[in-house]
Amino acid sequence: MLHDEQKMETFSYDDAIVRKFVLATMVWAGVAFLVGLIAALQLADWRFNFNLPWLTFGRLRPLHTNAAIFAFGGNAIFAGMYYSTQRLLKTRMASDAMSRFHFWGWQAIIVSAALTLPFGITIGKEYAELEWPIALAINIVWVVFGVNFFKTIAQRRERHLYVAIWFYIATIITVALLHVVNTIQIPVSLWKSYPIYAGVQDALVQWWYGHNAVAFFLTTPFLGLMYYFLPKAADKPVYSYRLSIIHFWALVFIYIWAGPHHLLYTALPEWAQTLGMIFSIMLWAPSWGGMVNGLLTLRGAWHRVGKEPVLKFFVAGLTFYGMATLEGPLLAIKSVSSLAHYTDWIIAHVHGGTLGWNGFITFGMIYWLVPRLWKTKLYSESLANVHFWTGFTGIIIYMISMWSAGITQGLMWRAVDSTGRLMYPDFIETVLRIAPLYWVRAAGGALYLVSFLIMAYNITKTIASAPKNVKADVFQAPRLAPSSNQNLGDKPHRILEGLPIVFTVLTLLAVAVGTVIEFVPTLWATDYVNTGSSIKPYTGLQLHGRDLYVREGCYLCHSQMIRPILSETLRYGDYSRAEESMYDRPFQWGSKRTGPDLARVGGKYPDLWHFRHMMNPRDVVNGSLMPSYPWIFRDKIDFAVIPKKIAVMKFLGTPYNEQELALAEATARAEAQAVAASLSAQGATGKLEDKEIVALIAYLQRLGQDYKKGGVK
Amino acid sequence: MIQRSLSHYPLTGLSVFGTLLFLTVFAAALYWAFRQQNASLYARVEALPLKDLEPMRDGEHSI
Ligand code: HEC
Repeated sequence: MLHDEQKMETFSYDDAIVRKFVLATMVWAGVAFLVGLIAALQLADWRFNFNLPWLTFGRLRPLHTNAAIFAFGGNAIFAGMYYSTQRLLKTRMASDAMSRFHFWGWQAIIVSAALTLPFGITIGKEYAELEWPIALAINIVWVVFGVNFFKTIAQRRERHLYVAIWFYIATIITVALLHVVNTIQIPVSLWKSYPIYAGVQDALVQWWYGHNAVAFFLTTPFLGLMYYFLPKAADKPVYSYRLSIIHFWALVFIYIWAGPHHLLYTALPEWAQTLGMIFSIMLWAPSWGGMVNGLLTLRGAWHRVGKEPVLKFFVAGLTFYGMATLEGPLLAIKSVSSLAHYTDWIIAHVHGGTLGWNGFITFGMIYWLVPRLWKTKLYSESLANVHFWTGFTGIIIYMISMWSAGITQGLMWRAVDSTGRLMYPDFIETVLRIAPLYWVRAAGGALYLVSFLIMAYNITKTIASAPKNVKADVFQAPRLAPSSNQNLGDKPHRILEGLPIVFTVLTLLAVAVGTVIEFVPTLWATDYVNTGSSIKPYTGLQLHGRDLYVREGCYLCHSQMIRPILSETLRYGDYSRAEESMYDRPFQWGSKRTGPDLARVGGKYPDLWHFRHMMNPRDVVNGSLMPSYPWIFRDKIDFAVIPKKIAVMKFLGTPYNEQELALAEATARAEAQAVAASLSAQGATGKLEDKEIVALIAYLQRLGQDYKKGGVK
Repeated sequence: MIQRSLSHYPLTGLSVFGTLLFLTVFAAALYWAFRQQNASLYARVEALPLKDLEPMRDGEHSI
């Protein structure tokens, strides 16, 4: 095959960077799982937050999800991508410096997430919480990663791009697009900003992002890893390369449309919901195509699955992928969503995906990689098997408990007796019923953490047994000739994927089509948000209180979106309209009801009730698992920042007039005085007019009021 | 409001358009995958992960 004139080149792979990413994956996995366990324990017994602000559920939960997705998942995919890309393209990464910048930049981003989220520095949109300086850093690091990756493709010594590389390309370009679009915001200060989108528009952009973060951060790159490492471990080519082509294009095309299934029965326009539902159901087919393709790759090797931990993890991982991708489309059906949405069923669903699919594929990959990267043998196969079975049991316990909790609570919320009244009007009743399951879930999570610690021990021992100086292997391969001299049959294929640029553009197009069709109509949001309604912008104090609500992560336990479903309107009041959140940056519709919906809580209780409730929810509601917020009673309102907030909101189009802006601080102080006076009159003690609690109460009491007063036309 | 948005944006039109577009992409991918001409190529590409280069032995190189 080789022509004499093709010059042989000598090179080595950059495995040092892969080793770094593997170690980082291990470290952050421990953090992500531990933080998850603490959060789980807090739902079983709130006191696990030790009354420390930075440890409360609302601040911890974003840390958990970010650590799990971007720190653990991120480092894992980078490790696998750097390893497989170099080998599939028979070249070293284009730039060691860029690889290192990517590695250290990413770790710095994770550390800054860990240093900001616990302090309530957050944008308040799920999985996109990191404030604007960090969001900006993410964009920069990602671009460097992308440039390095595409330069590597350009320098490759293998003409054909294996399907894993396609999945990596889709990941790199789509994540960039998603993240940039979703985090366009205007800063108020170094650590506070408001998104340029509001209300229904923000919701659509956010869940377009959120769902596709699952698609293009937790699915496509892991599928790429699966297509590389599973054939490697099984020592067999992928079952059907044809199927992988169809799998890729169908998946990439369909996924991007599915976001609105997070917003079924909300104030999102009906057509967008329907599109989201249809495409979610369609998604089932390519997902299972991929799973089947993976599992059948093991044809003739099944007898090895029982013995080899790597294969065991891959098979179980794929099976969890199959389960999650069957459950997802099911949950996206409107009638199923009406039961499952806002409940723990969704928590079961995502953990099947993350612990089972992402976790197990990663573990399998690490068990396969570490002995090769460190040129040694795995310390103990049997410990790896113990890891597998403990982890597996942990996931099963986790999922069964959360399925039961979710379905139980969903059914209790909607139960209506023969007289047309709610059977469980007290929300807390539905919480107490599932509380024991929160302990079971924590036990499942603990088991998973323990199983991981077994792995950490095993891997540490393995690395310790490695030779001190691992020398990089050296290879020889010919440079890729500029014009191919291969047979004609390849020509059409080369046009499609031999040309990475064309391929990238096609992928981008596939992603862009769904995006544009779903987005463009909402850009004219004024057309279907009735601005002539009675909904008025927040006052300065309320706005500040709203930011406290975001800071404390109240939205992670409370929704503000009443669905047009009988049991919901009976429980919470008339269903939510799009207009009601048109000044909300970010929107706070929420995705989980650990506590009740708050869209119409304004005026439901006297100020003093909120005062006591925030101090210690158990003083007013027996058995509540909501955290206490004593620091809100100590910390002072930063009145000086309120005019800046109003100015940014005004800039973004909220109709504040010049006078409101000029008098913002004085007005807010006067408002605070009034709330404090009302609290004192009801019996609260202390100097309250400059404390944060006053702003929070002002905000809570405002919720739903405009609508109640005037409705929307 | 739902009425307003429905009158502004054709629900069925968009869904039908999206679905047709998908079917087109899907048909193209199918055609591509099953083209007889591509068979030999796929056999080569699917073997890529399994065909690692052999490292050179010490003495063969000078890095
Ligand atoms: C860990 C989850 C959790 C977090 C975080 C949380 N809550 Fe709650 N919340 C609950 C639960 C459970 C209830 C129901 C029991 C009760 O009233 O205490 C509740 C009830 C409420 C109620 C009463 C609603 C009603 O209609 O009776 C309000 C108001 C409220 N929370 C406000 C907040 C605010 C403000 C924050 C953030 C500072 C917050 N919650 C954070 C779980 C949570």
